[in-house]
Amino acid sequence: MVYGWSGKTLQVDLSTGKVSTAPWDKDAKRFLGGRGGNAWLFWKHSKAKQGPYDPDAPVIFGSGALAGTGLIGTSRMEVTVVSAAKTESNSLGNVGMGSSWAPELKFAGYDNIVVKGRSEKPVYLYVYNDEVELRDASGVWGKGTFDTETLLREEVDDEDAQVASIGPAGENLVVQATVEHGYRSGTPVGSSVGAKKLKAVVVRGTGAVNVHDPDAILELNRRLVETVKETKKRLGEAIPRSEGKDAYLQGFLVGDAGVVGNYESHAWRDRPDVKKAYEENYLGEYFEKNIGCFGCPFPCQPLFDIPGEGACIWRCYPTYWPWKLWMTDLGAAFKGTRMMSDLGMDNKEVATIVSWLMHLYDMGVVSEKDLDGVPFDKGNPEALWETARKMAYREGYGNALAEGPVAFAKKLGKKATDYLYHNQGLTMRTFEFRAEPGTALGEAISARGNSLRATTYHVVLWDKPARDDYAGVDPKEMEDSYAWSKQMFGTEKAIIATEYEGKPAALIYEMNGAAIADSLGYCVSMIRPGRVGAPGSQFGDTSYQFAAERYTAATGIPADEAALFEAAERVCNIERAIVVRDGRTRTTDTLPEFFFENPVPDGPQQGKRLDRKLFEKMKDEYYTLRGWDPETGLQKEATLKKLDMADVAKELKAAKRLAPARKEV
Amino acid sequence: MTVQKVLQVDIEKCVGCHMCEVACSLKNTGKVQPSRSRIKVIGYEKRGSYHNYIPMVCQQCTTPLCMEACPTNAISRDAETGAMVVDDDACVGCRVCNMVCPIGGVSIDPATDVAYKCDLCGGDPECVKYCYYEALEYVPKDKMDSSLKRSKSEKLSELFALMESLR
Repeated sequence: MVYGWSGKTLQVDLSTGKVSTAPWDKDAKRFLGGRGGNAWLFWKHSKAKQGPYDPDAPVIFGSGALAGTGLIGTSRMEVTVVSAAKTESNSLGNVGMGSSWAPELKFAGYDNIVVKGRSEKPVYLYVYNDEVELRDASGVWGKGTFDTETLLREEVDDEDAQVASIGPAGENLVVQATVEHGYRSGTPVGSSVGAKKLKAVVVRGTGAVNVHDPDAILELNRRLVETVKETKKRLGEAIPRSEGKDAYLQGFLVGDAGVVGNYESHAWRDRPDVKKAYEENYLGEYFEKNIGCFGCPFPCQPLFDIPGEGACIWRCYPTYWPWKLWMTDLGAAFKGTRMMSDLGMDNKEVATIVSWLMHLYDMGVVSEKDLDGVPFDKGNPEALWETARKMAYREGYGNALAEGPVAFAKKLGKKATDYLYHNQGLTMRTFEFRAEPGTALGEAISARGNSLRATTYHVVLWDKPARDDYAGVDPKEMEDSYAWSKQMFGTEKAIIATEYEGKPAALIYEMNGAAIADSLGYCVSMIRPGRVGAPGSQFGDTSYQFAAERYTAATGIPADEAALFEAAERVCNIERAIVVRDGRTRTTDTLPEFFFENPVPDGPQQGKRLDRKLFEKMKDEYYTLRGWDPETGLQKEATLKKLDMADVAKELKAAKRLAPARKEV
Repeated sequence: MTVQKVLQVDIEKCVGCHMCEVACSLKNTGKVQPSRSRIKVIGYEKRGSYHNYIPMVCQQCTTPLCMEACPTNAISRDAETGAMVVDDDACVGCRVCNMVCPIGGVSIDPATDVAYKCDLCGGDPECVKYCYYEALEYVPKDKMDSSLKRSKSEKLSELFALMESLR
């Protein structure tokens, strides 16, 4: 009997309508599920340098390995595609999100779905246990994701059905389009789904997930509830996130990240008048309640309902928009979030594009003539709303932007291109790479790019002492933090955001930790690097060891922290294999020149910029620690073999994308 | 004699996490299978508008219609817990209990084809242990009234703050 997993992959060909299943057991043990499982299926089903809209390109929906096992906070799903948003490289694109789709797929009897082919007409995939059907989607084509979720539940006559869908942006092949489920989304993957004329995947399951030790699962859940209660006592009422106020007004910032405009300022957001305006525009009165994911009694997604706009969740990510757009009107930013969630597009990409255009507009590089008469004055929310709408429906300048900002920049000329900072076509978001070498390295090296999955964000939190307004490390325990850093990464400096030393090791540790969470479908707030009681988390035991115990209870596979990290190493290696197969090398593992040349203009990190030599040295160390070839950034045969990935090594070798044999020094 | 306890539902506190269904199915079937849970959270959701949830579970009625209606006398009250319990061997799966129950508290298990319902886990209900916001509580009968009244009064107490601020 398979425990934890369902043991089955659902395969759907939209061109022929053929539906089949394949076993998901051996690979499950290697790559777990969720992000790792999807990456493996992507490796198997995609071709080198495949276009995002190639009918044969796979779209993979996966549930985390622990989804549906009854363990609290393990309900995340993953969508993996050939990225259209990475206009300069394509290759791997993925996104993880919570809510209720992943466990529902497990109850229906599947771990993941591989969709290939392309439908002639708009369809949605309806999975109800063994009944799998492609249904006409003409009734919802053109509709926003909110209506699509509601209408499809009505159509299948089941309010427990879970819907992941694309909006108008995905249908119109806007590269910034997302797949949305219950307001959750993230990095763009939607246009690759839209190209298949696949509007939605609707799942409903009434079956069982077998777990190895039901009593242990209940016991571990009780323990988690207890630790949360204790943490709450210690930290105060931290679980209802007080409407995300912490994120806006307090200590969300790491290493004083949180850039203003198009990397134009930091000091602006600390100006007393700006702070005051923020507080005055604070959305508290419109806060309804937190909503959460299936099987988690600690909901953390604040739902706001603004009269005249409607409801939507609004979490930490959008909180830096107002800064990027020099905006203090949080209601206007909320309107943008909600609008883009409904249109099915990545608010981070769009907001960053708008901040770039505002910068150009401010310098006179572009004018209203280039932008259909929309004024791009700093702080003007119209610019955000209009750009989002025009992109989603491909009107005017939005039509050009829908092909990605790089193409539009080329149209506008050299200066516009110079001021566009991007990673393979994805915009750079909020991190101040110039002051945070670890996160800079992560951004350069991450398989997907643009990634909270490749930062040293949580590691450096251990260097943040608690203040009145910020739940950091107990100042009395700071010494423990540095001791831990030294023990783990060889130096105390590894947890200091602005230092280069020890960062490659810290980054690998955090990247692998993220791979564990994303592959198990584990809530990213419930698993954190470092000792128990990670700053910024209210979930008590956030250790990897606790995750391993929970994994064992569900699957029956004996595991400790090291075993999970080995699986994570495999996940990071299969993702590396994919992007390397598609053209990545050491040379392309980099960041825009801007971050090396232009110092931070103001604020606490004023004057900092990336040091090219130290950056390249970090790369050497990173590749070496990973067992990759520092000269080329390609993987070594021995490394892959050691990870039980000889099959991958063989294919890379055949494609001449394996590191050349060198004498080991 | 100790006072019997009841499973108290405060619908306003439910966040719709379905953890009660997970716990119920794990405890009663050894598997995770919300479709066989004795308690069921009904969602009223419209994306972009509202998200409300109501947990529905047998309330162990004073005059249990299920017991009255059962033609094979398969349903009886457990003297210790006060829960209405089903005798699987006596149940013929006629669904009459399901027809007469005013709140859908008893149904037929799709896997066993006999009636299944909340039996308060023999006096230690599993579901309440994971209900962090206490939408479900297991309270002594004589405290139920004051317990719910207190919970409902919390909203009203905000009026004090409001009045204070207007003063």
